[in-house]
Amino acid sequence: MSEFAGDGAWGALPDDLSLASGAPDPVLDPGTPGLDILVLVEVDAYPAPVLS
Amino acid sequence: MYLGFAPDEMPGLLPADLETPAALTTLRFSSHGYATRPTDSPANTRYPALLARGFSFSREAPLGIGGAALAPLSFGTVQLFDDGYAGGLAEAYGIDGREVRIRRGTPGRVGSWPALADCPLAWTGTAGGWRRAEGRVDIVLRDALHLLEVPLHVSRYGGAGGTDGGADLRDRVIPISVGYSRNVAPVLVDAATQTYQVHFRSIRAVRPKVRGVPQTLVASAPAAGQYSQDLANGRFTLGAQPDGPVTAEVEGDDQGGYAYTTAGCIRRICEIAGLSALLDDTAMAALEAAAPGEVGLHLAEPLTVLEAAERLTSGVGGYLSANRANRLAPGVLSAPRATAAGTLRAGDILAIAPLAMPAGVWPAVKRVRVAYAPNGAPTPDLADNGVSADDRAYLPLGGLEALSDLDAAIAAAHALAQEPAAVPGLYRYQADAKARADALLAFWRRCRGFAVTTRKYLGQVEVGHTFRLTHPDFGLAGGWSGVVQRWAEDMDDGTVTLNVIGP
Repeated sequence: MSEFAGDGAWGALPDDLSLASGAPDPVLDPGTPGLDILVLVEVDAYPAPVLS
Repeated sequence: MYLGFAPDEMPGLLPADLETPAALTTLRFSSHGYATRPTDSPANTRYPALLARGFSFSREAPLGIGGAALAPLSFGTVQLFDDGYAGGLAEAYGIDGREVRIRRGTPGRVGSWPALADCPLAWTGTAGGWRRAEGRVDIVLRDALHLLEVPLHVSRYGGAGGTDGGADLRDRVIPISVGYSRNVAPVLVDAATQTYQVHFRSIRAVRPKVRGVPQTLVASAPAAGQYSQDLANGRFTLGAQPDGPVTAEVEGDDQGGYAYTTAGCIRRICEIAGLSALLDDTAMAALEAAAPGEVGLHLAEPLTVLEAAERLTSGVGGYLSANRANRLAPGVLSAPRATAAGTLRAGDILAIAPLAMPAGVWPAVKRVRVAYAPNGAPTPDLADNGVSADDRAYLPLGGLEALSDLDAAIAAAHALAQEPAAVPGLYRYQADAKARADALLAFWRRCRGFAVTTRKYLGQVEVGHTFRLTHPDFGLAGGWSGVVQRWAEDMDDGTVTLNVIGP
């Protein structure tokens, strides 16, 4: 692969831009199995103009 | 305004916020009827029992190699009974584009639901809007991926001449280059000065070629065979009228530093579109670690942020998904981690069945190919002199492919072992593409999987989590770890079904 000196920018990559390495999976909470599940739904809403 | 009675026998009143139309308010519904406790925040707040049924939702990564990174979106609706109250809300409020939060709770004892603080979020997304049906009002659900369905290109040529482009470029998008592109067709913005553009703002470097012949950079006015550059605006100027196709090698956007990895380029295009707040940092860090290597995209035609992100994740054989917190969480399915996110033993498993692997990776995979150095402007018309041997071989092609090592053991054991379609890699270097091909082969060479249904881990599992399964059947007695390729939750019966796959 050709490398190009150009304005000096080609070649080695900046090494300070890499993101942190991958974190391990979180250990999940197995929870308490239950037959009845309460489901709550919340929806943000904006008052609509009144239609005539 | 009095509208009627909600099914849990509580009077349904339009919230007082309707009287103060500037405020964003929260509409609340539940499956069983619920009120927060005096100690909750908000305190003593009702969630009328309007959910017509619990509902199910799922997330998945595509199964196999070389396909699209975007799994089918499987978002449905929240269904509400409509005895007048829900319909009244649908008339009175706009919810499209607003946040939807779904919480779950399990009873502590008969008749006692938990405090709101003990009802964790199971899913966060965006409302698509109300949809009315007979006796029912639906809330259409969407996720963060829909928010990426916006144009990526933010700048267009005005056609006023000079660097604003001529009349022929009027209203055309200014190209976007992120990462490295080996050969692209620049836009001729000013024929009089032979000025070309490869990116709408600053880039790291550009190297033009005329019929494959590299031009020489000069700091002053260029002569024939030379060019000057305006890196701050992604432009360069040739010293003479070219005698054939002009192409360019580009190290793209460097506003805030040169972004060049898959995760870095996804972040950069989201930044360009003003959507970087949607990114899940943990998933981005994991993608960075799993799929390093310099890649790039040169986008001269209009497309959406979603399409650009999908190309980048496809290029590493990965997936593009949104997580439960409604953040963009791209990733690659890779070897199970030593510490599992969850463990399921026979007593936890309601049902288990082996998964059928798709045709592309079944019964086994002996070799994987990953493309690199994609050529955005194949150039068959090359000059007789001045073109490097490398470029003379490469420039007429559409791109190159790196091959993983042949898995001899798989090839010997499986006479029908496959070499699936090449992953559409965007790598600069062959070595990085080969490393990705080897990693994909290690995962998919003889991948197996199981669909397991459990009541545990409700509302938490994400695609890519490691799960350890122990079961007397299917050779799992000693325990086996895989990664979650798909999860689905049924809020009616409180079950989670996980597709766990791995080598």
